[in-house]
Amino acid sequence: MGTISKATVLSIKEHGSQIREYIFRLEKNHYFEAGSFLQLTLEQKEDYTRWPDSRNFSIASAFSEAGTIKLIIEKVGVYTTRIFNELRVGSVCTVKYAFGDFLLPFFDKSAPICCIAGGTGIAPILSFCEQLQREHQTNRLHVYYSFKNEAEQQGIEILKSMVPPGQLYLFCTRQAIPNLPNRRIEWNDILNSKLDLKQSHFYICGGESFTSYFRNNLNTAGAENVYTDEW
Amino acid sequence: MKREEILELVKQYYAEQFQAKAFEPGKTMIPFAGRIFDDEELTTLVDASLDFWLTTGRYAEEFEAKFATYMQQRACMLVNSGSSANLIALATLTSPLLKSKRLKPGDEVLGVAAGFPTTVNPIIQHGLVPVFVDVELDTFNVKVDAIENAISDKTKAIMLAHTLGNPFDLDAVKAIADKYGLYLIEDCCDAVGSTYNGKMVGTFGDMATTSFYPAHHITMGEGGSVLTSNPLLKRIATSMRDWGRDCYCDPGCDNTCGRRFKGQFGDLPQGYDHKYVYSHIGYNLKVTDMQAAVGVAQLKKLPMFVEMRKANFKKLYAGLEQYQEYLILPKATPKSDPSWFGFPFNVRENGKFTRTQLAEFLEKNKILTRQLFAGNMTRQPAFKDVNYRVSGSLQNTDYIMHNTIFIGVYPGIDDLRMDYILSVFAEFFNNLH
Repeated sequence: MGTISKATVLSIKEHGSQIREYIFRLEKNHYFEAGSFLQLTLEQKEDYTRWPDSRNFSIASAFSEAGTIKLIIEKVGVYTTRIFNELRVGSVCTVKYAFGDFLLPFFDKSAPICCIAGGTGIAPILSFCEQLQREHQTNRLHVYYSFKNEAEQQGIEILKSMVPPGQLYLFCTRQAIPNLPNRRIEWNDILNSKLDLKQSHFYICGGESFTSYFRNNLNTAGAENVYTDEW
Repeated sequence: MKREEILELVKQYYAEQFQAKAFEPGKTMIPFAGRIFDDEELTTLVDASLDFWLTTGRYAEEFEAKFATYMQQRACMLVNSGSSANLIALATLTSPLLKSKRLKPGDEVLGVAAGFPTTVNPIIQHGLVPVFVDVELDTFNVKVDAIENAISDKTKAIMLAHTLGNPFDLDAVKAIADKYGLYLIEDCCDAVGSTYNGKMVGTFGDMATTSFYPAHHITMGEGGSVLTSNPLLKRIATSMRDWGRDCYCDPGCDNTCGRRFKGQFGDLPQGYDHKYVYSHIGYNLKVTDMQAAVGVAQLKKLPMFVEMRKANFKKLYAGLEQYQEYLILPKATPKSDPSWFGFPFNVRENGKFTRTQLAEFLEKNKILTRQLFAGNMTRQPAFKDVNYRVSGSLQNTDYIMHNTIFIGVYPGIDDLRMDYILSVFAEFFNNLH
């Protein structure tokens, strides 16, 4: 069953005006898999009566014994605007966790893991990185990450520290940054990696058109292990 | 009326209605198992009923989290019995989501015939073929040196119970499972709290199962659980338990994924309600929150229960050791620390008495006995038309069918009862001379 827990805001980091990184401390800290998502409601909720209005967010950190979790929240509508307005350091909200199928391969412990993320779609990939680092398997990681501008990027330092050299590909779509392609990720970028499409595991996280573009190309090319997380 | 007032009355009711009765040797029944509870079980049960949430809720959440931690697993899924847990565990391995590792009809699953039938039944129910190998007379567990000979190119899994709480040789069985790429399901229904090499049983295989029927280490009336640390198996098992649905909303919840009307599944129309998308041919084997509430209270007592079972086993062993001329006493598997379900022993075939005569004597003196469940399962009427395979001889399995009984070690057996049990054995053996 999902765990319902109070979540206290420990810190907030701005990534431009539209994206924030929130660190919460969970009152009830139960194990969750990297790549999972949770439901966040601004209401105080303890019982199992009808779950109130809420939004789903990928958890951007791996399980921590300390009971902290990281969420990357983009202000895109009324509810996320409320979150921006109402959740301050020390605020308490309620989360229900953890759910989802966007999980690291369990049986296969050797094939490459190729993550393709757009914007805040990097959130579950960051949790993958943490988890794989704990398992000493970051050598399997290949990450393609595109973001609009420097202010909105998240976790690049983490990615640089965890993803092996030559396996991290960054793209900035709306700002020219030295040494970074000023464009979207293209299908050819993935093909150029020369990853074995049959053996590798492909994780795609981003908007609807972003995920369908890569999913369709991968499926057409014969990739067998394609996982998407689309919001 | 406030809830607290009702719960206080429940405590009073417990004190009035459930007073322990004095033990009267020869008159008071000593069952092989029984539920041990106090006012906390009654109050949590009533508390859950006052919520009137009925289906799984806050107590189920608490139980699953705490029991998973106790069993050293990442996930626990409550089901309505240990047999259902076995059914779900086996069904999980047939999921298309496992791709080439999926069990298909005709595949073989290794096990033993000396045990409880619902460790084996799910294999048959899914069109798979159980393959039986023999057991040891003193541990009542699989003869590990017989396993490799039983493996064929159709063998895909091993499904074994830790018999009456005694762990099977997990080093050997796990090594074979790894060598041949077989799944391992550990039926821990009788073995909650048993450890092997310092680790909880159930943590060695791909999945584990437990039972919370009243005879077991803890109870919630009817109940059981499936445990795993594999997130994919967890996801499949949950689907199998919950009608086979693809959606993972908890009871009473909608649109957990936020994409309820956005997905494309099978040949269904785009956006078909995810709540009614089925990715498995599943069951509905959930529990109620009232059951889970009893389990939450029982769980607090579990460490104490386990220690009392171990202590009672030791006392029985010490008291019966002198009769080894007639009895083959149980032996804990090396490296294990069993949380015994019962005290099993074989009556050696001798010219003086039979198992039945000993069992009748014990029962006449109010000490309840049980045989090792189905004995040799292949000799049960239900197995007449079943497609199974036997590898080697089942000589010891047959011996157990003819000669094994077990008596209780459950925490309800106090020193008075224990002394009485041993005195009845003494009387029986004294009468032989």
